[in-house]
Amino acid sequence: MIARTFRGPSIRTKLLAIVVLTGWVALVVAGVAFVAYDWVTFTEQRLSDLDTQSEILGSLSTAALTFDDAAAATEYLSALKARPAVREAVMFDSAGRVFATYRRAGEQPRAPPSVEPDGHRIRGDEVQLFHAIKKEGERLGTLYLRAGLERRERLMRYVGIVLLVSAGSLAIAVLLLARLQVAIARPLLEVAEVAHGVIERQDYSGRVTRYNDDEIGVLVDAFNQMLERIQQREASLQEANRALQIEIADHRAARKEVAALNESLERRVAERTAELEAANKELESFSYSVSHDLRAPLRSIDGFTMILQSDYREALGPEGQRHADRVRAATQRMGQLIDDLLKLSRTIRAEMARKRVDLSELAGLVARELQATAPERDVVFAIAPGLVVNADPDLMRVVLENLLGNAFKFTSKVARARIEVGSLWEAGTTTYFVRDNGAGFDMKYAGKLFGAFQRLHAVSEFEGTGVGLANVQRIVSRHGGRIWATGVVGEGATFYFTLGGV
Amino acid sequence: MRRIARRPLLALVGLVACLLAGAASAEQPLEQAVRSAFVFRFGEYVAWPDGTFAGADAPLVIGTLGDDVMADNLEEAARGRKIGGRPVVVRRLREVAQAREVNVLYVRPTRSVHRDDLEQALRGRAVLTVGDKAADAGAMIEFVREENKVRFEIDAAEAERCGLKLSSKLLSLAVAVSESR
Repeated sequence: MIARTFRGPSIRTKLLAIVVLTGWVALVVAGVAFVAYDWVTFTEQRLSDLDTQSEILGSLSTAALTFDDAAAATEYLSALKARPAVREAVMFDSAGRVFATYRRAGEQPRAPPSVEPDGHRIRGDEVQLFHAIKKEGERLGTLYLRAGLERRERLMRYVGIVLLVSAGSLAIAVLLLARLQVAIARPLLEVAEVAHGVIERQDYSGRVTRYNDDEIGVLVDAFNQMLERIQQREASLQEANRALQIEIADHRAARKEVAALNESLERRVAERTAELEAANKELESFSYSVSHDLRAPLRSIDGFTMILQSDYREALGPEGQRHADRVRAATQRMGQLIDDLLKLSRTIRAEMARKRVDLSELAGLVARELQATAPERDVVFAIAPGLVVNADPDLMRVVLENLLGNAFKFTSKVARARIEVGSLWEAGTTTYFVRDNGAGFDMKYAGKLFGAFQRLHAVSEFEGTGVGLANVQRIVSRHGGRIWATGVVGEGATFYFTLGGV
Repeated sequence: MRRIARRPLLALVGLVACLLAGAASAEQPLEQAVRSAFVFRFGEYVAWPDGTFAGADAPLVIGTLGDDVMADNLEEAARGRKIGGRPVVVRRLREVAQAREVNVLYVRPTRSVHRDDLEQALRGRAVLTVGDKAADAGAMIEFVREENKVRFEIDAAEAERCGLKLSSKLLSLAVAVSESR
């Protein structure tokens, strides 16, 4: 029960319990000790009282016994009225006969006792005493006293007193607590209340009043300081939180913007891609029509011109014959043009597969093929060894065929033709070049060099379709590289190209 | 003290009866024994003036005048007994003059023992005199019969005059006490 009380809700109740319990325990212990002490001492006191009483009575009664005056003895014994504890008294003479008796008022008469040895004996709640009456060493008689100890009555009285005092002490304890509460319970209760506010409502603004300078005062101060610090920390935390939230909002907005931008970009890319795809389709259909629809009329022109030359030789005459030749040459050139165009479109669409390609070896191969077309020419090929690249070998062959073919073509009118293939290494990039000492070109037309069907020289001077360099530029750019040229009219030209990636 | 002049009428009747009965009235042997025991015991309740006894061990002397039966009984009672730490000696006196030498005197007036002579002889002496009221001995303590019991009267004033101090216990048992004459 005590434990339950001490787990209870309020320190007020505990204080009350402590005060009352302490007081009550002290009281009960003291009461029990006192009653125990009294139990013993009262009995002793009562016995010694009876001894004294019997001594006085005995001494007083010696003459009465001596002179056989029972009336006097009875009168002496009747003085015991003043002692209500004594219930019965009997005086025996020396022969053991009853000499005088006394009985307390209201006491039930009993058969008179017989003389027993001197001394007292406790029987139940009574003490019986036999006392020798002596004079001059001679036993004159015996005095018998029977007295109540009234121990139970005393015990009840003490219990009553203890109960009364404990009731009084409880009242005093309650009064005392009202004052104690100011000193101990009130500050603690206030601390508890503020703490409750902190837990329930996160309210750190509450403060506890300090009432005294004891440990509770220190506790209150510490509690207040703690609250102060928590409040400050909370405030700075909230500040930081606010800043962070603003930052997060900014970040989100920025991200949204980026996303929107990305989206529009993607949309534009998609649009462009779609446009490009459409353009490609157009080009393809154009190439198809060129290859099929343009070739058929050319073949009829060529065929019928040939029939004219063979069947109507005389009607044409030599003049007509020459014209017919020119018609046929023109149709053949046109067929060549169409072939080149188809090649270009194939180059654009062909799948690209990069692998290790030895440019030096490939260039040597192309040079030998060119030499074979015009064995009478004396052309010096200077090809640098060990030019190894990572590129599509078929496309690289197209590049070298075009560049070396051009160089071979434009040096046809030079006495000591020289064609050089090599590489430069600068700024982390390898640049390959093909140089010749042929016709060259005017640098102001450098921008037109790589356009399709663009020609800087008359066909009569140097034959060609004007598709080759356009094709080369497409291949180089598909490899992620760049192509450009320098030249001086009559001194030669140099074509540079790079191949991006590895 | 309440016994002072208790039942005076009865006492008077008793006195008259005793007088009528005369000194010759036969006394019961038991009553004789009681009287001798009383005489013997009176010494215990009396204080003699300083200088009465020669020393601490000096005997208490009880004398009898005119009553040998009493002397016999007293001798019987005193044998081996002490009073106030003193041995007891019983003397049978023949002359009144001898009464001056004792501490307690039981007197029974006879032809040779006169009350007036005795008064003369004992004047100023610290001698406790005991006698029968019926015999008119003029003693300090006189026996009376009351309700068939032996009781006594005390002339406390006379005893005081003679320098004797009687115990209050003794006085309280007396049926009558004359404190001053």
